[in-house]
Amino acid sequence: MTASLPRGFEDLEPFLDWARPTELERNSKRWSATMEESRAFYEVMIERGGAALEYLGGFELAAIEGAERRLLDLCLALAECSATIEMYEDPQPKYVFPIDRFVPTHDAWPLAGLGGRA
Amino acid sequence: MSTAPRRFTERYPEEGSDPIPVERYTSPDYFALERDRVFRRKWLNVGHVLQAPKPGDYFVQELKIVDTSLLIIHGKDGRYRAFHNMCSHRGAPVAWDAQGSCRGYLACRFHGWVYDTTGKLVQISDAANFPGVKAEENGLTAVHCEVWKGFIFVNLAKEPEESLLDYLGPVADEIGRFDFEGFTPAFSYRIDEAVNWKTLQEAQLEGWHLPYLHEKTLARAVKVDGNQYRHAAIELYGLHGVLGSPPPDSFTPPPTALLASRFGTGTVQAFGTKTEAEGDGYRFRGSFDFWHIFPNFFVGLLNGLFFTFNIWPQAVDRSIWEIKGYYPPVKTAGELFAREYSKVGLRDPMMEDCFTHELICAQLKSGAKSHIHFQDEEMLARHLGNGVDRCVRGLA
Repeated sequence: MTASLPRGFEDLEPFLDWARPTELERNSKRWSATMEESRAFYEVMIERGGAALEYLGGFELAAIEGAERRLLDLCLALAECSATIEMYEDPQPKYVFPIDRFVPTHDAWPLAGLGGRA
Repeated sequence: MSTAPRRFTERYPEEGSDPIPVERYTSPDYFALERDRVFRRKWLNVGHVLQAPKPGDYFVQELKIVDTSLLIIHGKDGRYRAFHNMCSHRGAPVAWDAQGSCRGYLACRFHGWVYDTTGKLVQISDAANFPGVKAEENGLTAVHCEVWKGFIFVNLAKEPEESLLDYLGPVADEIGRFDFEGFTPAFSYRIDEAVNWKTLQEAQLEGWHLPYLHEKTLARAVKVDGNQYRHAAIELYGLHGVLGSPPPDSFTPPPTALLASRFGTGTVQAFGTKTEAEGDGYRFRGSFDFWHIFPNFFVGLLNGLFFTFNIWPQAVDRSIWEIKGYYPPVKTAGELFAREYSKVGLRDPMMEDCFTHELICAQLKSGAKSHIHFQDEEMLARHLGNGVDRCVRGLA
């Protein structure tokens, strides 16, 4: 039984539902979360994101998986959630095209992008 | 400090200032003329060499407006070539996937005819049963293809009226100063929309809507001059043009931008400051410059990244918008996060743009208005329609 998050990041366990591996899924989570859920996630990630990214900096990007991958996906979800908190102040802004029609075809690529593996 | 009105109209009086007929967006007849007099004649960007980096790599680009699908192959000899993606035997596509890689030969999956990366037919299956068919007369049908700064262009005319470099004119020198080395494909979006291709592009050809439509997103990253956005520059170069977006007087990065900037560069910072050219480097007009290469290609240049748009008309009221972003390679989780934040910051405003496209297209069909209007700050949008109309009327 592996831990769902790396040691030292157990405090982020309540937010695991934000850890999704594709942009489409992270954006969908952003849109389905309430304002309260978004704010709670945003605040904890603004506080802990730096430590998480420093910890993950010790890993080869292409080799990140398991607990580390979930931690990375939490960080990437902050990029989505920040739009709710810092820009729209609304998880479901009214006049925005839906992501299922604004298709992120790069979701099928390796994590770092095409040719991103050094 | 307020910018003088009508500055671009005075500089480019030949662009006019009349209302624009709605028919250009709704008429199937006008669309048919655009197909024949623009898309069948002009150089069209179909992608970037990074989509097929190694010899033997290939990708397919649908060009529905001219009823074909193109196969772009990176030849074993290093050259990029474009062909109609069509086997000479019975017309099946030779490449069935959007991209792929071969060892020098592509076999049609229908009956196994084999082509090399120069388009030559090298094997006819069951050749003895095709006694009259000569391999040398049945290679893939080539399309004129030229590469400039890594951008792959095709021309569907039997003989292009001018070379790609002549077509680009001064734009080649201007954009060419940007250092396109060392980037990697970072994101790619595809949007299939019920909108005329020019309506889609016009939203990208002016920044004047930023404080309105993008009030909650991009507006904070640009300068607003007395409640109005004023381009840092608009320059026209033949059928092509560029706009520069002015950086804000002061910019306070939000917490996520600060976190991202600890690990990598992000768009918000890139938007917020203007880069001064060094030596022969690219001369930024604003913090962010947006080039329109006629008819349907865009290159957005920022400090440390670039992105492209290809808009592919499908019908008078349907278009596909392809968005591709290129960043320096990311090696760490922190750099990936900075890039993700940057990408979302670019993406959300484009999703706001999209929201308007289909609504406008649907409403233009009503016939309620015979004309629409462009103001001075919308000069580049006017310029697109003028360029198209000049082609349609046989003047360009």
